[in-house]
Amino acid sequence: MHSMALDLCEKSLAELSRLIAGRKVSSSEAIEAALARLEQLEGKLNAFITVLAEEALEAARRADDEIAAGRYRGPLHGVPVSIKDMFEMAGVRTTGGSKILTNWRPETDSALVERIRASGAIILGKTNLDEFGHGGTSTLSHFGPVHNPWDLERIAGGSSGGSAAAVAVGIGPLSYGTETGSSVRRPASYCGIFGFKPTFGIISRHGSFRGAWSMDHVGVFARSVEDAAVGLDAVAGFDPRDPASVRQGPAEYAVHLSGDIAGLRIGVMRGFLEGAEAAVCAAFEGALETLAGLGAEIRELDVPDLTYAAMTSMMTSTAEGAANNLQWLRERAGDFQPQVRRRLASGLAITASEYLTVQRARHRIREAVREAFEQVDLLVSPTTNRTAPLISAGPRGNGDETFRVGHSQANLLRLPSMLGLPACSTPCGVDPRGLPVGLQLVGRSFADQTVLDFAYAYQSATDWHTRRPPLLEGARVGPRAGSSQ
Amino acid sequence: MSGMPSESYSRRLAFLEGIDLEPSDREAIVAEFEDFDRVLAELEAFSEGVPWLAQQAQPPGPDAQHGS
Repeated sequence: MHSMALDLCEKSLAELSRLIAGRKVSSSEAIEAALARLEQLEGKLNAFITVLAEEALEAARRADDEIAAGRYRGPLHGVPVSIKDMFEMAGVRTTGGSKILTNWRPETDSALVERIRASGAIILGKTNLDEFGHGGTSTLSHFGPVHNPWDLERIAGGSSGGSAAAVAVGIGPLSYGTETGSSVRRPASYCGIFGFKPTFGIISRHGSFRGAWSMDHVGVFARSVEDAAVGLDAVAGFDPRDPASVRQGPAEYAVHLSGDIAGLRIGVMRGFLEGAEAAVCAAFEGALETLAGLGAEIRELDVPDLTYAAMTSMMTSTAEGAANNLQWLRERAGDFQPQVRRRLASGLAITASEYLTVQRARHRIREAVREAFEQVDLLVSPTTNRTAPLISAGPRGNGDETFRVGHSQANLLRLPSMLGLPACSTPCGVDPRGLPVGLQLVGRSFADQTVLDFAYAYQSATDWHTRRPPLLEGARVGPRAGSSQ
Repeated sequence: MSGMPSESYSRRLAFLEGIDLEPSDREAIVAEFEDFDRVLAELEAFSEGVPWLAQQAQPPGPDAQHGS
C-alpha cells in the first residue's frame, strides 16, 4: 500500500485519470496518496493554508460510487487538485494569504471551483501565496513563506508559490493559480514545472480576489503540457459574471495538441537578457537549439518599446491594486503584510491623469508587439533572469528591474499579463546548484493552442520537465530524482 | 532617501490621509514616490502623441447607414 501510494503521486494526470476511469485505482486511493505526500512534506514546504482532508476523502468516495455506477464525468473525475487561496469556495476558509480574512468563509463558490466540482476533480486544499497576489516570492503571507522543493532555503516564487510547490512534489498533478504580473510563470520556473497563463478572459475570474482588473488571469500548473491542457479544458469558457470573459466554443486544447512546429517562427530578443545569470542564458540557448532542431525558424528581433514594459505593468498594477483594496486600506491597514501595505498605499497617490499616461504607454507597447507578431508566431525568452533566490534575500530577491527603462528581462516577464497574451513557462535546464531554469513562450492573443503546441513539442524532445526535486528522493519509488531519460 | 519630502511627495502623501501608516511605512512610500516621479516623466515622453483609447461602437454592416 505504501509503495502504491507513493507511485500514485508520481503518475501524470493522464495516467492517473486512465487508472481511475478503468477502476484499476480508486479515487480514494489517489486522494489518500496525495494526502500522505502532503503530510510527509508540508511541514517543510508550507505550501498549503487550508487542507481539506476529510472533505476530499468524502468527495473521493462519492466519485468512486459515481464511476462504479457508470457516471464518469471525464478526465478529471476523481483526480486530486489544489487551488490558490485566491478563489472563493463555499463554506471553506478563503484568506487571500491575509490576516484580514483569516476566518472568512464565503457562501458561494467561485466560477473556477464550480467548474472543478463539475469536472469531478477533488480539491485537496487552498494553497499559500503572497497576500492577495501582491508579490513575486510567496513570502508575503500571513501564514508564512512557501519553501522551494528544490532548496528549502529558497523561495518558490510568487505569488502562486504554494500551487507550484504542491505540483512539483506530486501533491496532486494539477493546481490552479492566478497571475497579474508573473505569478504563474515565475513560480513554475522556480519550481521546475509547467505553468500556463491563457489569453485574458479565457478562464473566468468570478469569485476570485482582484489584483488589478485589467491584468488578472487564472492559470494552470502541471508537470506536463498534456496535463495542463486537460486542466485548462475543464475550466475555460465564457462566464457572463466576469466582464472580461471571452465568448468561445468548447475548450478542446488537449485533444488538439500537436508537436509539429516545423516552419513556425520564433522571435528571440537577446538584447533583453541584460543581467541574466550565465546558467539561465546557457539553458536558454540550449532550448533554442532544440526548437530549431524541431524545425522552428529562429528570428532575431528587437522591439525597443519593450524597454518600458515592466514599469508600465508595475504602475498599472500598483494603481489598480490600490483602488481594489481601498476599503481595507482605510479600515485594516495594519493587518496587511508591511510590504504589501506600502505598495498598495503608494498606489493611492497615482493620479487619474498619471494613470491615463501609463495606459497610453501600454497602448504604444501593445501596438509594437502586434507588429512584432506580424514577423513571428511566438516570442521566446528565459522566464526569469535568475534561478530561485534565497528567502533571506527578501521580497526584492528576484532582482527584477521594474522601474528603469532598459533591456532588463523583467520587461519580457511582465509583458504577457499586461497585454493579455497567452504565455507559459516550461523547464529547460538547471543551474550549477541544480535549481530549475524556465523557458517562456508567448503567443498572440487567442493563440493559446500555438503556445501549448510549442511547449508540447519542446517537452517531447527533452526531459527537463520529468525531473523531480531532491526532496523526494527519500520518498520515491522508482527512478532516482534528476535522472535523464 | 534624504531629508523632508519635497512638494511633490507632500502632494502625493495627502492622498494617503486617513490611512493608518507606521513611520517606517511613510519612509518606504516616499521612496516609491521617487520612483513614480521618475517613471512617469519617462512614460509621459514615451506616450506623447499616443491617443487615449476610447470604446467606439461600430455599425453592424460594412458601411455606416446615414439617415435621409
